[in-house]
Amino acid sequence: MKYLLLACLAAATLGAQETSEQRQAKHHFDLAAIRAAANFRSADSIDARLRQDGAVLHPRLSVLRMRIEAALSEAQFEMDQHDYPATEDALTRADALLDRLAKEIGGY
Amino acid sequence: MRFLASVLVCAAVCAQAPNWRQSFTGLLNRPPGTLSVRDLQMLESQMALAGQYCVGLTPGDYEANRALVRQMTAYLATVQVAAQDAPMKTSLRRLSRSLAAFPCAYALPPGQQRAPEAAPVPPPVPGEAPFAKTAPPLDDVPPADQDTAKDLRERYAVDASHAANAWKNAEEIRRNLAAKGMSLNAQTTASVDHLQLFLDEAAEALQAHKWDDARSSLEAVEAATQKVAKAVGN
Repeated sequence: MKYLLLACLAAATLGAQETSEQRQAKHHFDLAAIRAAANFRSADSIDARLRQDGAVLHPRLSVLRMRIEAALSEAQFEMDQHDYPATEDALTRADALLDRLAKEIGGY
Repeated sequence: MRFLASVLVCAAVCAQAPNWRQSFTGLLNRPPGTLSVRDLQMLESQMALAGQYCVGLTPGDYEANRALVRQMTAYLATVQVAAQDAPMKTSLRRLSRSLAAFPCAYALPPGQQRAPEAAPVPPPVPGEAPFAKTAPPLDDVPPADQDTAKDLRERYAVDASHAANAWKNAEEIRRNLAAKGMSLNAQTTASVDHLQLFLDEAAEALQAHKWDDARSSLEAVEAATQKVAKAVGN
């Protein structure tokens, strides 16, 4: 009975920790997704302007955008699997790629 | 020399016109499931640009272009069957309309002139901000926390109302800019999106009786509101 109580307590503690981790991961994911969306909108706007002049964005930027989308998708997948360290890894990568994109397009 | 210049000008004009044909054949070679909204928008804008260059085409040219348009119409019908999301369906509808009146495929009868461009439609008035203006009702607040809860709920209401003002201004400016083919800068766009995120987090924290979390989320709302207001005015 004592062990059962201890196990319940441990499970409850673990559950509470996971909730906090989950919340942090979700917060980080939301921030990264918002930042990505804002920069993508800027890139789209620049792209549209360039197309009017018969030019296009540099392919490097399109690749960067795809890599950001992939990193965010990976973060979402890991979050759904409750693997929060892996989520953080993917989000750190997304942040670094976003830094590069923002630097290239004068974004945020 | 004059001949060379006219050849160069003609080459420049002709080089821009066939882009839409390349895009059409490129898309037709792709499986319908791989098309995105972006592809459709790109095609639509190319068609709009190409329309200016489709003058003086021979009947044979028109016939060849019509054949390509018919292929594209059939292809888009298969894409439409597979399309699930609303933006894709909207883009498909717009593209189908553009195809039906594509000047490179359907010449106007002689003597008839193109209808003048419609006057620009004024941007619609922005709607309501996408977040709750009042804090959620709180259940079972311990007596010791009643004051804190009350303060935080009031702070939520004040912050949400400031945030709603900033959101509305930003939305109006965003619409005006969009009408001119421009957009808000990325920093402001992100700050506007942060308003909803932080207010939702504050509401969740209040409901979970996590007062410190709620306070820090509300501080984040205030900071984001300031950033937006600085860019778009109060």
